[in-house]
Amino acid sequence: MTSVFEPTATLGGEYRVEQAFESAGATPKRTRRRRRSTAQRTRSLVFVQVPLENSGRPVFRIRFAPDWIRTAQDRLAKLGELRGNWDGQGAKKPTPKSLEIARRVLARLIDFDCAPERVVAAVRGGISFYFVGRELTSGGAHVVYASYECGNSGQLLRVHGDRSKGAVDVVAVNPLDDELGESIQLTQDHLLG
Amino acid sequence: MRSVDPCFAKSEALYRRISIDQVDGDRILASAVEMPACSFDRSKYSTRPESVIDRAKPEFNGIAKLMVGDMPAPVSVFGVPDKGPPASYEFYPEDLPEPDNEAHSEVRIRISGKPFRKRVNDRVAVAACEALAAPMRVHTPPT
Repeated sequence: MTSVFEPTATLGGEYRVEQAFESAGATPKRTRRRRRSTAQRTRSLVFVQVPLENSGRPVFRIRFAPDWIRTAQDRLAKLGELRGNWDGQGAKKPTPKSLEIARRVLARLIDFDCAPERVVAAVRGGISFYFVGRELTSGGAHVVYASYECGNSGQLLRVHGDRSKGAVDVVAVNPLDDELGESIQLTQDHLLG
Repeated sequence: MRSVDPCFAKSEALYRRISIDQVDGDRILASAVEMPACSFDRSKYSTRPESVIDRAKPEFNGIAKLMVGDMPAPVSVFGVPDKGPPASYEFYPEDLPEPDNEAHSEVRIRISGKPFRKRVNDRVAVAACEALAAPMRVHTPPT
């Protein structure tokens, strides 16, 4: 979505959300009609800190969050409530470790505006972020896909698959920010072919 | 209960229930299966594929199918570099009838030539789930 506000001063707390709305004059219609708390509105925005050349001051780019972020966050919260045997076939529930890794992955996906096709619990345990390319097979499946598997042990694995070649690449990824960011860029390249 | 039947014909189908979150077109997501062992119902001892559906889990109203003849080729997973060749895990079906489900079986993996172990590391499990899901197809689409 579009950037609506770029203050060059360091703003603090929820005040900046109010100011962002007023300065940009871009309050969503729904917010105008129904008065919602500042906290609720805060969840509709994404703050991205970007460096400003020749200035020691940080710049905060504030933008409206795409719908997928709220959907993914809600989904993740729901998956955290699953119990063991949630499929009736012995599926393991996601552990706190896997949920923590999943939250890290989601935070980096937001930075890259990289929307997963879906966020699901894996039967073997953990959380899976599933991504798809554009091309479809004759059976309606996506030819190119990727996933980030947040395992119950706390390990993060990246999967890049291509159904036309029958090729699957599984790589361990350090969930620390830099390496995860690089990995997400590789995934975006993979999905674009 | 019937006795164990280790003979699986290549033309035999194995069924497993799935939800709409676990499919992409006619393909099954790797998150829908587990490793080193994944439960299936054998068509040989099942009156119909729909018998895998459990009313207590209404969202799992779809059915995935795997033909025994389409069992994946062994997957090789590299371990620590310079520590010898990668371990090769082979897939095989195991007949495991249960008192309340005589059709029950599992698709398992084991290091070639070695006995089955209940635990594998995450990387092996994910690679094996991907390999197992690849030849599986949607038999009855979930809604």
